Amino acid sequence: MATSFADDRPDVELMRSARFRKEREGEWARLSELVTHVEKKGLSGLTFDESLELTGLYRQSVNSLSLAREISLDQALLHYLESLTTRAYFAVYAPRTTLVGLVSKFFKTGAPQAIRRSWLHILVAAILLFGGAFAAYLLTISDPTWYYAFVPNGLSGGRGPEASEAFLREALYGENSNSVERLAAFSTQLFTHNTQVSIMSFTLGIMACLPSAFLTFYNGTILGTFFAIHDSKGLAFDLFGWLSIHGVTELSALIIAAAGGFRLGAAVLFPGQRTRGAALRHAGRDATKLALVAGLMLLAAGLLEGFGRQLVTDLWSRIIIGWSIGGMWLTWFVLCGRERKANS
Amino acid sequence: MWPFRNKDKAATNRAAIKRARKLSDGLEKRLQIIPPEGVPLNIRLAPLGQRLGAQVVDTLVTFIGAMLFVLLFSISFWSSWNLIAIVAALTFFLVRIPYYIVSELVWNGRTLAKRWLGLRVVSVDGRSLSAHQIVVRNIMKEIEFFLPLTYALAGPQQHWSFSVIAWVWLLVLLIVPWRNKHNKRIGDIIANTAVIMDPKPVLLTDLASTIAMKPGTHADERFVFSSAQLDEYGRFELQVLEKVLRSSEKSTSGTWAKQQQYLKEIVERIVQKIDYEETIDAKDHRLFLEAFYTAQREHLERRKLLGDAREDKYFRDEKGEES
Repeated sequence: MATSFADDRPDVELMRSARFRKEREGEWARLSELVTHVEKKGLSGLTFDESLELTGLYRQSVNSLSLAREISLDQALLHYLESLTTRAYFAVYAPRTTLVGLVSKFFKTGAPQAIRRSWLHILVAAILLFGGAFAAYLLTISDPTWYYAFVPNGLSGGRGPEASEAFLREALYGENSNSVERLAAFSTQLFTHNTQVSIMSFTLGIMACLPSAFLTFYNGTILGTFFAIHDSKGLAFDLFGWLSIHGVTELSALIIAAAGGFRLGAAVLFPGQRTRGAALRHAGRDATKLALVAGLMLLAAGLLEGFGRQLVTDLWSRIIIGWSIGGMWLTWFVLCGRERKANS
Repeated sequence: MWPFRNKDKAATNRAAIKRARKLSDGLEKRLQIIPPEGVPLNIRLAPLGQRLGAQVVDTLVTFIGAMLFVLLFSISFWSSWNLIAIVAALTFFLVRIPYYIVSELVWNGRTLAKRWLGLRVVSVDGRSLSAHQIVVRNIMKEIEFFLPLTYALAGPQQHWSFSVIAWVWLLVLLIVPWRNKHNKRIGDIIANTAVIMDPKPVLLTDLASTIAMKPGTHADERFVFSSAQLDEYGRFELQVLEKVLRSSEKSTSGTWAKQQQYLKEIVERIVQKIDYEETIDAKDHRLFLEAFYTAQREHLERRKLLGDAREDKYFRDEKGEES
């Protein structure tokens, strides 16, 4: 076959590398055809025989490439083989997870297991948040001017120490439309504020945990101050109800995001036997899942805030809805994805 | 007066050739991936301009997509501005990270813009791209790029220090992939991925076969080279000659005269270097070069097979240096 096309000079002897190419050209063309097909339609567009053929031809082209590098100096051929093999490599070693498989794995095992592995970090973040809240509560109760030190402008919606009980009550149970509008604006503001705090405390965790710890504590102080302001007017329990409906979810999200940051920071501080980079990559696997869970919870909190809080104005139904949703999160984290132990 | 001058000149000459060789071999940054089969693949990395372009196109695609959705929603379920605002916020939130993750997962490392521009995300470790890598590099994109961008453009209602920090952050972000050996941004470094140009396999004809098959010329019988004459050049010069022959093949009439002049110069150089006895007629220039290419390639390939790979015409000096 190597000489059959040489009609003009049937006696011609091709050099080794040219013969090498003539013998294999057909296979390469077939592989190229299959790879193009996969790139357009995906691996599932191949029949069983075709996919077997693809892997076989891919291995042969890898062989051809390594052989051609030894025996041929034809640059065009080397470039071609390298490109073809690379393309075939991408087709053969494509990601094996489907979208549905990935999502269900995340919900069934990945996320809850990551949460359970990070229980210590979550505990620390929770202590910081509520510690901050408690400290700020004590300070503001004794001296209301502390309020101005803790709460940034614009986040309060006019609910400072000078606000009357009637104003606060109306903001919590908002019957007239004007304050409902105000409350909606405030809740979106709070939502974006908390999202930003979560993203920051997750990202900045990489700097040895300190910025995350500070942010979490600081966010706790805002919470504590609000409680103090309402408590001095005898509205603490009403605020608790108002916050419950979305706050249970939202504050948990904040804690989990901070815990993700702590995982990263802990990897930087205590890499153990690994190098810092390797430790960070390892911790990153769980931290990413924590960040995703936090994002999901913030989204849920945003929905609860946008729809639930304005629709449900009864104190007890607010508390029941908020805490039962919190219970559902907890059930997911604690019970899902446990490996069944063999009965002994 | 300055006895080493000639030697120095030869050395700088050699360095220049080496630079030229490196340039023609790897003009672009390349990434080496070793697949499980163990044969390294050198893949062209995506230039930063292309990546920025892809990012812009993807941003436009997601933005327009989200706008259309919100528009359709508000037309079909109109109730109040408040609801539309909430829906819009949710849509823009959902369309950002998930779009990149889903498209890169489904299309094996390619978003829509990457498909159009021929870019692809690959795992540097030579295994298939994992879902974790895709998620990490795209979440990091949000933190690396979009978050500081919102602060940088947020305007005067925030403290000025936020803007300064955001701009510095963005500057660092641009420097990292530019200085990185594989054009990786921070997300790529953490996820251990890189963005490459999808290679396009184009099989050109085999020069040696076409020359041998050319009807009626019999170049290899017309010009015969001795083994000593073929010992002058190495792989680099051979492949430069290959490029010249390929490009002069498809030259148009406008550049024909220029090409002939070019070929003539090359022929003169070679004839002088290898002490070829004959003078070559102008009409035979191409024929001579083709014959020389074939003979030289066969010779070099044989030497290489015997363990004597010759990189360029300084291969003798290099052997001396090594020993």
